[in-house]
Amino acid sequence: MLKKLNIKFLIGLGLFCILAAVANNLRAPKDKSVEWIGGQEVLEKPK
Amino acid sequence: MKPLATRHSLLAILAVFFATVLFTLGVFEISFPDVFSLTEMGFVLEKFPHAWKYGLHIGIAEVVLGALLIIPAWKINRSLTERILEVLIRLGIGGMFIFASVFKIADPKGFAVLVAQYQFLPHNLVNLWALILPQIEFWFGLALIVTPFVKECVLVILALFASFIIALVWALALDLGITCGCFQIDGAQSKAEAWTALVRDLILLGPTAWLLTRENKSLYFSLLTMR
Repeated sequence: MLKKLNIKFLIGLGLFCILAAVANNLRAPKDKSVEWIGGQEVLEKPK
Repeated sequence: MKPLATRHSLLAILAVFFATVLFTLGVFEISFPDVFSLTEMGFVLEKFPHAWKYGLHIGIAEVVLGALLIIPAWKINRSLTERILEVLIRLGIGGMFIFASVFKIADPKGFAVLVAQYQFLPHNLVNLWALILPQIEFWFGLALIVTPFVKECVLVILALFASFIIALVWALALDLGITCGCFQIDGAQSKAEAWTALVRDLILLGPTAWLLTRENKSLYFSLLTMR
């Protein structure tokens, strides 16, 4: 089945998703955008 | 077309219609009780005051009954049933992923906070994953609906389901007490809805994987050749 897959479509759309992610982070306001490499705080577990 | 064949086709269409309605109601009962829940309706609670405790069970029963209703439709007119199901599943799964991605795209930081609560990815990959995952959901969900590359989109969507299931099992095993974060960001610290999200994702794996048996063709072509 792997041979029948359109690899160009998969790679092409995958690359497009990465570009869209970059564009989205750039267009998002400062309070909603994130650093490219990094993470977020782990909050306390609710009781 | 002979009248008998037409009556049979109508029966198949009706069976698929009711199957879809039941299946969808079941998924909503399990996962989106705020939107629709039979077990929380006034007239149901009047007769069965404790019905609200059994939403998950009722939802699963609805899903199973819906799936079973496909059998007579399939026996009556296999080709028509499969084409209708293909259209509905592509629209449903594609639409669900598009819908689920919108809030994550709108608020990358909020979604990154949710991803961080799972404590699954290395710290430095959390933000990247939170940026890229919603785009994959949106564009491959859309591609499942508008492009003929069914198998390719389904494989990616199945990989997404697998990642959600792994993350949810991880959260449950570690008793992290977090919300799924699948369709909303608010309540990153709310009590776990991980179980219902896990059941929903396991249920939706079935119809999604079935699409792998279908030919790559556009939805428009599927609708045109339906009879």
